Amino acid sequence: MINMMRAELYRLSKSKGLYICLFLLLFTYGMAAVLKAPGGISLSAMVSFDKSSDVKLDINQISFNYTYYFAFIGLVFSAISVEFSEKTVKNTLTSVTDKSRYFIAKFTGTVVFGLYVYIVMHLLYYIVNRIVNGTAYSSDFGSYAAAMAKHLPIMIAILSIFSFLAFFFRKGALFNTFAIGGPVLYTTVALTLYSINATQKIAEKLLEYELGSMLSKIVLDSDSKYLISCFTVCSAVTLISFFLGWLSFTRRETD
Amino acid sequence: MTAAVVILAVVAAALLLVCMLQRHEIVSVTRELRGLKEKKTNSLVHSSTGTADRLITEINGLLTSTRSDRISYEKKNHALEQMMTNISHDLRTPLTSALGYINIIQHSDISEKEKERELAIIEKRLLRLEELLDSFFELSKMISGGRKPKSDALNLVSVIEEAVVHYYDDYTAAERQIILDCPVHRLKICSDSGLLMRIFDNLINNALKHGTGDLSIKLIQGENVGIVFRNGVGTPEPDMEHIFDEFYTTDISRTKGNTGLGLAIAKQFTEMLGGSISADREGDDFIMTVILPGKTEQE
Amino acid sequence: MRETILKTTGLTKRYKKFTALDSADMTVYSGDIYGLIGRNGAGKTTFMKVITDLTDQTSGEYELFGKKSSDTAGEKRRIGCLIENPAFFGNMTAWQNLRYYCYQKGITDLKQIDRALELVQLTEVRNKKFRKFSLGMKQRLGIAFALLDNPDLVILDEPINGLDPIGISELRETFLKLNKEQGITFIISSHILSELYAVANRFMFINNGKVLKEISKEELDLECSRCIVVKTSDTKKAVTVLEQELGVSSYKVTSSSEIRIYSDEAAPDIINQKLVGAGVPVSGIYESGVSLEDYFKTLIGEVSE
Repeated sequence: MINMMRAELYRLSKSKGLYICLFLLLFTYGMAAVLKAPGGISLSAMVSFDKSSDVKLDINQISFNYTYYFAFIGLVFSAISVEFSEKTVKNTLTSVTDKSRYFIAKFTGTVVFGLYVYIVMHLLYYIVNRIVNGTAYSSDFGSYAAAMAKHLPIMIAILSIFSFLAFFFRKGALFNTFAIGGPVLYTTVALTLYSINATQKIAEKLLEYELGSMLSKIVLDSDSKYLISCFTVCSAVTLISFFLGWLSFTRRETD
Repeated sequence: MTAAVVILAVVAAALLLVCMLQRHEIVSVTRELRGLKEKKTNSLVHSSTGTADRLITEINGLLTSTRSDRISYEKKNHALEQMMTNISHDLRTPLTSALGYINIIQHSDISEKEKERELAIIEKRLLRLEELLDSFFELSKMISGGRKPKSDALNLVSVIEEAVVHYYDDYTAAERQIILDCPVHRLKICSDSGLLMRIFDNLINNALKHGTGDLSIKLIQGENVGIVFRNGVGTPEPDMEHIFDEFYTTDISRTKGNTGLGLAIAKQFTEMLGGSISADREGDDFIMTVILPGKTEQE
Repeated sequence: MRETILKTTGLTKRYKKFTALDSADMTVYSGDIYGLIGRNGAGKTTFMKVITDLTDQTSGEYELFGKKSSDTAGEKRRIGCLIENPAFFGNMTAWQNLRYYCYQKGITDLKQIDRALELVQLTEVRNKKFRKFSLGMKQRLGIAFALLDNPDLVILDEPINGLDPIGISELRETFLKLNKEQGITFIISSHILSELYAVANRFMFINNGKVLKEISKEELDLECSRCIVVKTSDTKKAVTVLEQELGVSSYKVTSSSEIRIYSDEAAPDIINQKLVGAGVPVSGIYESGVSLEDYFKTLIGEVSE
């Protein structure tokens, strides 16, 4: 499995798309540091961001910016969808490993690389911000690391869903559509349900675990009950994605 | 303080990971090596974590070289087996024939004159057997590498002349000629006269048996010494690719008294002397070229 | 004793209503070069896909290197294959593509890549992107991938697609050399018998998912060689006449009313004369010599009728 992941790393290092994604990431974070304001691409349809003065720039940025979301899409696309579109998956399946192991390696690889990108990016951002803007705009490392750590389960869940989508759709275009439109679709569905009286309760719950609000609330609010329920939801999503992805890959014809 | 603890924890975790990976690598290499020992396969040892790549490359190098040794050994073994089969077949042919004639003499009522004639045939068969045995002995000595070529200073031209003289009568009887074309009368090289004699002997004999027309032998001096044997190609046409193979002969039934060893021996001997031999076709001409290292006069 | 590399029993693959493979039984011994012959859609690729684990069989079993089909993951390293079209990453060069698979397989010695590329004459274009490759070059890279990592069994699906005649003969030599020197077993499929004839030593004819016939090269030669066919209702008597009066020794009684004579010791008219003279009823006598393709056609025709 480590071999598979090393191979993936080698191949990713040769693909241009990923470099563009990483550059975009670096660019937005660099801008955020230089302009002293949190910024980036936001996905959520309802950003409820209150500028609380006691929250410093870096924590704000971490709770608000999801540019890495697109880097993740790029990553999963290069690692999984390309294998299907180029049909190279058969090379590995015929002479390296079986379907289950292939799936596990790809799934784990995606999660590990995604987390790696997330952590390295944010650490870099922290260091740059600290140097450029000084302590006035950056919090101490402990609380920053804690904020990052709180995000990790959500990142794992996102990457898992992406892996599942890539294995489920196989076609790169379909995967991209669903991965990009996913959060908006989720919010739209939740809001529609909210407008109907009978499903209002469910909708409220759904909106509570909407990606954007989850990412900011988990960092900005220190409500431990909400934190635990978030983690539970994330683990459930991760496990379900893993299982569904595994099913849809191993139980279907490869071609 | 917290930062230091976090960094230390990360470093410790990384070291632990490396340790575990290496441990895993050792286990997997061991398992693979054990598997390779049990079955006949081309497969090599693989890396599973990338922590011992150089070691694995070295192990694989060793494995590959033992395997190529095995391949060449099996090839040689196969050739030897083939040779054994051919030898027994070749020896049996004259022997059976001779025994048949002896049987006739013993059990049939035939005249003295006829007996004499048949005894002559028997003698011929036995001489043939002797000749064959000599060739085989020579070949087996060669294969086992028992004979080391000498390196004496000698006159190449006189060796060729001697070989030609041997066959002079045979060629004349067949109304053919041997034309010797040497630009010099003396050409000193360091070689083994016995082996050289056998090479030329075999080549001239081969041309007599299988070739047609006159045989021209030309000596070419250069950095190396080339001796070119040229004669008309005989029938049936030789298969140029296999001409130096042991037991190759155009005569499949092996009744004409060909062992198919002549050229194989010539080739082996030439190579032992550090030279090379090649066969070519040029229209209807059949050309044998012997190249010998031109170590001229070592005092 | 030669090792059994592959053994299938009643291997069947159904796609919805279409039966692509219909209880195929075959055995492959180590050191053979197997030719899998069938028309397009005869089931060759399906067969290869099943045994390489690209798809699961509907029923039946197969054993690879003595391991049951459910347990072949550990033996995958001993197989190299090219199934359907060669597939690689377009944005990477030939070398990089193979490097990627070296990582996956755990090959540490990168000289193996150069060796594999050399075997298929791709050394010169090793740094060219796969996207820019011609069909023949792609095919060669696919074969290089199959030969990577010293396999014991190489499975090639229509490997000579898109290759020029010189390329085909070069590859043929490579296959023969690898087979002879390293004892690599090959299973090669093609829809052209004459192409396989030059490289394979056992042939398996496949049509409509069924294995029609498995035959060695010697047997195929015998089937296709020039012969005199004698049709008679009394083959037993005819054989004695052939042997004793005409001294014919190489013949074969192919059915209860047909004898094939492979030697040209006697001409048809003489055979006819002798047979009739001895009171053997001869209903027909003629010379025959089937070409490989004709043989293939008759074989398929026999079944579809």
